Amino acid sequence: MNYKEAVEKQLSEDADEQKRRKLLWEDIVAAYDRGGEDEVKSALTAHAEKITKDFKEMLNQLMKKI
Amino acid sequence: MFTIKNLKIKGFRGYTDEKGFTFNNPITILSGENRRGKSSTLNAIEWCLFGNECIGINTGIRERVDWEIPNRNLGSRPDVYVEIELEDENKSSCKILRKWISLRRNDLKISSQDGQFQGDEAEKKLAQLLKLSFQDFLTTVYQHQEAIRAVLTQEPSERNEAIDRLLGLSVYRNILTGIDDGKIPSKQKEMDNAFDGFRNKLSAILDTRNKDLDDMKIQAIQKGLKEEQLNEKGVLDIAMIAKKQLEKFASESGLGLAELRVPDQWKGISLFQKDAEDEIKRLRSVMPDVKNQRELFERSSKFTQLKTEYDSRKGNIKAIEKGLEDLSKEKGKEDDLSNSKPQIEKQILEKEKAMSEANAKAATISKALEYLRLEGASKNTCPVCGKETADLLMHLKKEWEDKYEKQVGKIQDEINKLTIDLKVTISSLSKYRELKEKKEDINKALNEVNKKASELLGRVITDKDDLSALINNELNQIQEELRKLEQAVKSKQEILNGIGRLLEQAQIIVNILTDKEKKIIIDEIKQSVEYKRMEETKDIMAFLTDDIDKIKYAINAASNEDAKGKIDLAGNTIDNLFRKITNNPTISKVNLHVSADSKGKNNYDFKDQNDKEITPILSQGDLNALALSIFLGMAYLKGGGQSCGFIMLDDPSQSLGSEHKEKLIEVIGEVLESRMVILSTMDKELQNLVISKITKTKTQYVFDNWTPQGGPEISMG
Repeated sequence: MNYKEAVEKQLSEDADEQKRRKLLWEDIVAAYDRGGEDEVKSALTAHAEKITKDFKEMLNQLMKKI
Repeated sequence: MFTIKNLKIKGFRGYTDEKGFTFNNPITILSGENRRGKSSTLNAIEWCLFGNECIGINTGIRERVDWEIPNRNLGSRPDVYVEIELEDENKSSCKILRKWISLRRNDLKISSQDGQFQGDEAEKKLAQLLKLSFQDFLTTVYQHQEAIRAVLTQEPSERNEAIDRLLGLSVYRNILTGIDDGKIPSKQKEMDNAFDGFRNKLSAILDTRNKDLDDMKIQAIQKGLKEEQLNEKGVLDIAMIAKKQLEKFASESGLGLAELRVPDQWKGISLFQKDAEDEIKRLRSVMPDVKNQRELFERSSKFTQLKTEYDSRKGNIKAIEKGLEDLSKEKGKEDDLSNSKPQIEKQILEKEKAMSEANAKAATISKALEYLRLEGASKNTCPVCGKETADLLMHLKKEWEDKYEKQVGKIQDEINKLTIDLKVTISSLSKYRELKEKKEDINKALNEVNKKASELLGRVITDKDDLSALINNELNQIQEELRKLEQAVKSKQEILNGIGRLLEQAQIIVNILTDKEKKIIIDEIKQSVEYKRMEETKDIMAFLTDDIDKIKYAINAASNEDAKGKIDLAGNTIDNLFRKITNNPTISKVNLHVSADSKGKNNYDFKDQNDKEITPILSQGDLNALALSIFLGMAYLKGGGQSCGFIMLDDPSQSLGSEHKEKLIEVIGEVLESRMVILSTMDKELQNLVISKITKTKTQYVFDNWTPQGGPEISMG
């Protein structure tokens, strides 16, 4: 069992969460394979920024209304 | 299981020209001082088998970051390759040739009994052949210098990390580091703070609006409005009343009015208000009574100014007349002065003539006296007439004093008096003239005042008229008219003020309605799609953080389980090897335990037979032995099903004492029963021990020197 499978084995919870986490884990593994820990950092930062960007857009729109 | 048969290196790191190595004995020693190319030789084997996997931070070896493959002295297109000939237990061999192409590319060729392979096909073939990951290679085949150096640290967290690496678990730590560097929790916190800040802002705005609304309602009641009027209908009704009142006022005042439109909705009321206020302002200024009032004020102002001017001039005239009167009393009448002036002048002339005559004789006597004073008093002959007179000087002196001195002095006094009289007369006449000129100027100005008054009063002003009284009379009449007008204007202004108050009431209701609308906007914001999306996004971020936490937990748990599994399998071997190398009589058993530290990471304990922690009493040599034991333990662990028939030890005796080294040689002797060993060392004591104590046949390559142009100079030992 390689590290990827060993971690996946630990990630067992309810179906939806498991699926979501597994996908995130797969993203992390793919990033690590691509460029190591720096790439993991970049991938997660990009992931978070995508969410943050959406949030900021909504916030700016609402700020204009008040 | 395969072993290395031959090795060729060209242009790789410290190497320039091609160098060859043969590994036909159970142990090969690469000896020599530091920086002679020993490690480059082991690195070449590693690179040939694993290519770019050996490079970068993922290796867990610090020096591999930005690791350069080609020798720097070979120019821009270096010929770089490493060729390994592997041989299995059936003496079947294959050649593996890896050529460097560029920073990211290298080309692999494999020649074996199965055929020729190149590129990706060769990489696959090699993977099948090795049956070994790069991480496995690092933990079970190649004992890197850094693996021992890291274990030698006294810092527990660093030692734990080093043992993780020895156990082939660095991937877990690397990924955890990458995840932590992503700083997802702080980003989530940032987002939560921004959301909370926004929500608080909405609440604060809502509170302010409610307070403003309450204040405005109180103001509305104070302004005479009723609660039921504080709505759209209320404001429109008030606007309509204001409009009708303005129309009525304009009509009754005989004035025109601009068209005012009361809107259908309260939002248009501002325009109506502005128009209505403009009209009120205009009506105030064009109302006939106001106009009359303004004209009377202007007329009053003109008369007041005229009166001031008139009184001032009259005052000036009086002052001049007083001056003339005083002058007449003091200096005499002007006519008398004018008459006396020529008489005085004539008298002066006559006196001056008499003076001249008297002076002629007086001058002669005076000169004679002068002469006699100079010539001496003895002369008695008159220098003028030549007549002899006794005591002439005395005689002339007496005559001068008796006749001429008194006469001339008298005439001179008279002339002086007359001259003064003349000057006074002239000065007085001049004063008369000056005062009369002034009086004339003032009279001219008074004529102008009369002219203005005549124009204002609309009648001729004669000398018989008392202009001051006329002006006073006019001013009194104006004041009377103004008093009458004031009452009329006041009542009309009051009507317009009342309409203005209606508009103020309308404005208060508009303000209340605007505030209510803004309150609704805030409520709508909370119900908006954007707000809901923000909440959802916040939840997504929270899920991400939670997922990251769970994944980190899973990584730690997997790493922990992995470590436990490896310790279960290799623990006894590690124990045996460690005790063998250290030969510490107080330790009869070393139990390696792994648990999770406060952050979930692996924490290794080394306990003795009495379950007491031994790490605090381990020397640097013991820690070195511990690192070697773990490496060799892992090598044995993998040994059973492993394809690799050799291990590479790079400077294994860094901190070992002589006794430890002897024991290490014994252990290496045991390893040689099943594996070929390639040992790189600068330690002469260890070399000698290998040569004297290892009973298997050996090959020794001595790395004598190294130059940038020639690379390592290698000889057989």
